[in-house]
Amino acid sequence: MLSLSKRVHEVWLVTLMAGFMSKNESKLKLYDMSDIIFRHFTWIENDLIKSKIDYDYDRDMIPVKVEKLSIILNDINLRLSTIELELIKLDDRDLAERVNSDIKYMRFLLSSLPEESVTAFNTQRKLDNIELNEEATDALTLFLFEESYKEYELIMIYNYLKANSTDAFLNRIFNILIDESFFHLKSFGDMMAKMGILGVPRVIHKELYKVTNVVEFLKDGINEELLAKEECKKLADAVSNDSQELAKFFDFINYQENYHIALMKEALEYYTKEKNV
Amino acid sequence: MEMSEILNHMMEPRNYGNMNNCDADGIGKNPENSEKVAIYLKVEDNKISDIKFQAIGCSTTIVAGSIFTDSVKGQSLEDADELADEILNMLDGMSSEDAACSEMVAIAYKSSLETYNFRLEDANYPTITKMISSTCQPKEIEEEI
Repeated sequence: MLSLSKRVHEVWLVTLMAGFMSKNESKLKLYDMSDIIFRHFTWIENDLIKSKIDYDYDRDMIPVKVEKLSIILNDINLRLSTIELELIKLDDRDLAERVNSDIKYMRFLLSSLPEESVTAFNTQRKLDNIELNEEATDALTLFLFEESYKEYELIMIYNYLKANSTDAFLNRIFNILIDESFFHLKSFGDMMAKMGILGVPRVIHKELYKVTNVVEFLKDGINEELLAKEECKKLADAVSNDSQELAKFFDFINYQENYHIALMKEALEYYTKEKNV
Repeated sequence: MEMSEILNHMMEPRNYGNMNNCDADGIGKNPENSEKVAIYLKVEDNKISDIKFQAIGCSTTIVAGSIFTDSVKGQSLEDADELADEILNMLDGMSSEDAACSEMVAIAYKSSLETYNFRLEDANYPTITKMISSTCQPKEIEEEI
């Protein structure tokens, strides 16, 4: 089951990356597929927890640099085949059936997606209809690498906390934060692909999600969100002369961080009271 | 360094990840925050047959780790140590962030090498962690403090 969890984690990311690469209607289909696979990942994780198996989010590095979309779609297909084989060994037959049924449909969808040339790795660092100066381009490049990884990291941390908690109040907050980070990851990943600088977020260090001190984690998280707000503001200022559209987008992301901070403060207050720490 | 080369390492960091069957590992840590770099070594005939790194840190750390591990893979332990020394000698000319990130990588290698040497005598010798001396704060802030 550990190997199955790892393979599903990898194919989730590859499908999400394929969604970033696509420039037509296939994008939304690939996003939907990646959402379904992420849910598979959480179901398998739940089985691991129920079976008391010690697990982590380690995975292999995923090469995704392609020039044609069909190459990555074939890769997804092959990865799904590996998962099908792993599912044969799964004791939870209901779960295996559910995942198998979804895979069958995803295979059909994949075979129907049209060919596209991929420009997500051409390192042009240009956005359609937006002319940024070199300094603003460098600032945006660095921001996108830092923050896309950060959003992936947050998804995995909150997912781990949620999976290992039965507290409905905290899980509601973790769930909202996961959804918010998904939106940010998709926004940043899409922008990276448009700029030709797409990369798969790196593997997360266990220490980050196997949280031993929730209070410290939430306090650090609030501080990190405050820093992220600063970065968004700096970036909005850096690009405002060249693009009001981009500046407004980063102001919007900056404002969303306020909500994340409020949720984390709510979780901190609740946790401190409940656990009497 | 050219932006294209930096982008290349950002988009596809080399040798990133865990190594379960390593011969030795070492950690370089920034005492100011929770940032750190772990380096894992596989050694054959005194040469680095495989090397991996993991980091809790920023993109600059990832680029530094990717370049360092890419450069020393296949080299002797001593040559890699010389490169780590060269990096440590260049820190003064770098921005504070670059210096802290590069030092973490170089110190992580030195820690892993030390762990390796101890493990030749005692296979269970624990992983060595060393702290860096560079600060991540920009120089103008340091001066204010």
